[in-house]
Amino acid sequence: MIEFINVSKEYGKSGKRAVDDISFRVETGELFGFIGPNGAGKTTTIRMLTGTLTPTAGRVLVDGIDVTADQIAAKKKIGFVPDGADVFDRLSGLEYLNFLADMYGVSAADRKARMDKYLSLFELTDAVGNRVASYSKGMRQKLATIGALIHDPDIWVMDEPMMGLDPKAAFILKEEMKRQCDSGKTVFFSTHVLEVAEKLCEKIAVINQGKLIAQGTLEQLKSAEHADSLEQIFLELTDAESEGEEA
Amino acid sequence: MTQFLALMRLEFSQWKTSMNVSAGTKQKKDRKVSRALLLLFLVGIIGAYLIFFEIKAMDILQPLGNPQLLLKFLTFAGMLISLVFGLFQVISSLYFSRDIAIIGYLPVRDRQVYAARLCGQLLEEIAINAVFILPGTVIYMTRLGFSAALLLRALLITCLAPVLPLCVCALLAGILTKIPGFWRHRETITTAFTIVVLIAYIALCAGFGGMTGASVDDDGSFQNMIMGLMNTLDGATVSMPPVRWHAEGLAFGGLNLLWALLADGAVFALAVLLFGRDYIACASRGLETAVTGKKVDMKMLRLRSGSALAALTKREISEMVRTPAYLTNGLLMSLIMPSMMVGILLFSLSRSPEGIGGLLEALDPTGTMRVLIAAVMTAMMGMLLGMNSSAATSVSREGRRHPLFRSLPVETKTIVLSKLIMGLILQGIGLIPACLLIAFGVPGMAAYAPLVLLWSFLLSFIGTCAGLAVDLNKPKMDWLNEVQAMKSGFNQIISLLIYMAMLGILVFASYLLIDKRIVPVESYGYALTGMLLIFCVLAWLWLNHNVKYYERIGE
Ligand SMILES: Nc1ncnc2c1ncn2[C@@H]1O[C@H](COP(=O)(O)OP(=O)(O)O)[C@@H](O)[C@H]1O
Ligand SMILES: [Mg+2]
Repeated sequence: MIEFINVSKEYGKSGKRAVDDISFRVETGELFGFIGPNGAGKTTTIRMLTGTLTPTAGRVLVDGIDVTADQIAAKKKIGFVPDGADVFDRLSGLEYLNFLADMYGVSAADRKARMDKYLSLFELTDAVGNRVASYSKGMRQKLATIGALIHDPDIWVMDEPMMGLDPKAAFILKEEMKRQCDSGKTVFFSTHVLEVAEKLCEKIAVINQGKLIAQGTLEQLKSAEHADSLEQIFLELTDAESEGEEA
Repeated sequence: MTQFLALMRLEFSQWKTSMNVSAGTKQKKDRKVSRALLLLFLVGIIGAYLIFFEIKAMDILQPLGNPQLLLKFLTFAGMLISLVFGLFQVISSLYFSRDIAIIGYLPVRDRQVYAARLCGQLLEEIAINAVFILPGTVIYMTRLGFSAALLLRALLITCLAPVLPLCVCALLAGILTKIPGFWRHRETITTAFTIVVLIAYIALCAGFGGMTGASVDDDGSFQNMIMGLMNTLDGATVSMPPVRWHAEGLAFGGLNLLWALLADGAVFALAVLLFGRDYIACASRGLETAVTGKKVDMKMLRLRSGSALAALTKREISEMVRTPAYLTNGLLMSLIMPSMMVGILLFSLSRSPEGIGGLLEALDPTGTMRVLIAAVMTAMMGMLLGMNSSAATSVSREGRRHPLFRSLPVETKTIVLSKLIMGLILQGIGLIPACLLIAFGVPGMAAYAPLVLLWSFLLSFIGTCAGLAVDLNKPKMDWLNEVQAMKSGFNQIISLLIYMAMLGILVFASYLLIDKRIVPVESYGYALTGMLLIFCVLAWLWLNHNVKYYERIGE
């Protein structure tokens, strides 16, 4: 379970809130999509969830643990795929996965089993002995994804996970996301690709200019906005918001 | 020409951004002012040391009737420093700089890019030379009268002196890249090259140091030491005409200047002609990462679990060793610096009429003062250790991977500790060959080499803690290019300032302790160890205090 309670974030003393008083809940076992245009505040929100940014106000709870108060316990529950899959490119893929496994205290047997499973699932076994610097963008994204799953986290958090993936890899990833949910794990990811969210997510939250402007199941959103597709909802919501701003 | 100028502007703006710590809009101005003040303070302190040395040197040289030697010495020292420091800087900025990816596709000639890169490096060295040569010239003129011609010559030589050594470095770097298989094994080949240089160097110095000279005069040992230095200098400058042209060009002017100018122009042109031709294609190979082709057999794979600290430290080391720009500017530089320092010292002393052994005998017939000599050697090594403050970039080096670090379920302290260990390895690695050089190169000092090692290690602990503390406070995370990351400018300058101030305090305190006979010379070793331990504790406390800033990065 993930819970955001009146969370705001202001970078430095800029006077502008990148995330402005957002509250929402992701139940255990849900597949939750977080959508919004560029610069909306998705990455900022995810960084507060993963304990890499401290909220200016409000609380973030992970399975009831306050992320700011008990960072280590909260972080252990999360598997994180960072924005742009910026991983350690001087290590080999194998070294990277081992590094993460050491960080999360994964036993030798478990890490081997999981590496075996996910490397063949994402078809990265052949390259895993090479340094990450020699990987393509999509391969890095895959490696970061496997790294996030190496400790079998209860909560899987991804920032733009489809970036750079080819259609087949994207399909495999989506299937894996569903499988994780079915086995009772929580999956939370951000995207600006609406089609992915529409097909995959049980629940969706829309963020624009730091404010949460809608949340609920796709059906709820459609009926609330009298729209047929997520795209229509998205355009209406984000346009209305910026008009309101100008007025 | 416009293209070349644009490239130069790029070099310059990269240098400028490396000096600016990224800051929020509001505080930017305050930070600029405070940084300028700090910088001024630094220049003041270092300048004071230098000016003090230069005045002392004039006091000795003037009665000997050879004041020009100061000017020659400064030119020589500037060129030597450019040669030693320049080697790894030139290799990394010419060939291990990843921004070739964003320059390489522009419609500019290879030679223009190469020349611009080299000139960018040159500007840095000219700045360093200016700090040496210009104050010395001013002091010289206060004693011997103002001369506009001399001032002009000083400006000219400041600009010219680094050209020759840097171009020699560029030629060496170019030759290195032509070794077959260089790009595939660049880390290994560069390391091997450094070790060869180091061994050759130590052998040379030990050879000179081991020679004991003829009989020892009873009087004037200090005078002899100065004479030894002068002999070395004259020997070195006479045997290398291009160096002599620069040194005598500054001191006397005349045709020397013309020859110096021609030599510099020629070697620059040679470098550009030889290695500028296919430069972009060559340097772009640094972007390639060798694919081993070895398939990992998951069935046969044996994995072991380890502690978080061990894994973090291992990652630090792998990154240092496998990133050529870090390797050259960090590890290899640290490896070679202290030995260079000890070596230069031994080399100059060995030219004195009685050799080092004799000199030590004359200075210290009873052996009670050896501990002071050990302290002086430590101070000199410590000075060079401080110059290479890789610790001051160790947080910055995380760059855009910082969010990944922060998401790990480990205490911030553990992450910082792994960086401290890396920093200590970096500094410690050069101490060992240097202390071996002392043990086997200096007759009568063997027993003191372990003491020098201990003291230098304590110094490097202080330096590493301080550098890390500074970088924790205001790291610079938004680099694209590892060469830039390794020179995160301002933090290095600040930590250098703090380190030098600490050294200054130690030297001053030692002077007081001995001169005022507060501590008998026999017990000075304990006193110094005690003072060092106090600084270690202070540095450790400061580092611990700053650990909390790690969690504020990017906020
Ligand atoms: N490190 C930072 N410092 C200052 N402002 C930032 C920083 N990171 C993001 N921002 C600002 O916060 C807002 C939200 O950014 P972000 O969360 O990255 O958006 P998204 O991921 O939805 O594209 C943007 O206006 C951006 O300019
Ligand atoms: Mg984003």
